[in-house]
Amino acid sequence: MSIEHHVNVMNRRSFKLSALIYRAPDVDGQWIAHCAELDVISVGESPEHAASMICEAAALCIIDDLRDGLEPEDRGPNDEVDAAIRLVRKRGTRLSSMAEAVQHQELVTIAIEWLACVIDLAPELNSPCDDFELERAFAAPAQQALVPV
Amino acid sequence: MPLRLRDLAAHLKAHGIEVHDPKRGSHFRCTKDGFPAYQLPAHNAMKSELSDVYVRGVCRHFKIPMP
Repeated sequence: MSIEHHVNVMNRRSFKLSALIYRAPDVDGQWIAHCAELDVISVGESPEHAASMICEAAALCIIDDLRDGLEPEDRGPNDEVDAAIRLVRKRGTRLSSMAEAVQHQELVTIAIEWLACVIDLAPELNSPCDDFELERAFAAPAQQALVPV
Repeated sequence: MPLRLRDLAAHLKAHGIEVHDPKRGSHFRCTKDGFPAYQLPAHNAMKSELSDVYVRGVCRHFKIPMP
């Protein structure tokens, strides 16, 4: 193994994250996305957009924390959101893609899991937004989930 | 109660929190000494209306009262 390769492997950090996505109770057409592990929230105009926004917000939090010498995992978790995500996973239907959620978004709560990767300790931290990968998504009727309003 | 992003930003600034324009992506960055940075969604700029769920989240993060 070359030194460069060794350094790259040593510097790489991945964060397995999950988020609950649901319709905002007080703003028409807005979807809330809440990442349990980092307790960070973002919003979007559709479930797909909210998923994209929370992935970006989470990535920016991770980059900020690593630059400031903080540990991103110290931000959370939000136990209430984590419990709701587990409930959606248990009772919900697995989605093949976020586009599938859009097809029946009227009364749906969505749980997503993704992997955010970041190169730690590098002079310029790479943005994990670029290589975020949705691992799994589940959808359940909204009334079945304990949406933390 | 939902808030315009500009009103939320004013509330944050009144509590000593700096709100920085997005360098990349669609989020403003909020900072205050002693707290990790927090991201404000900004895809509709300062006109964005943000749910009470979001407002409570950012106030909880910085340990400040709700507007």
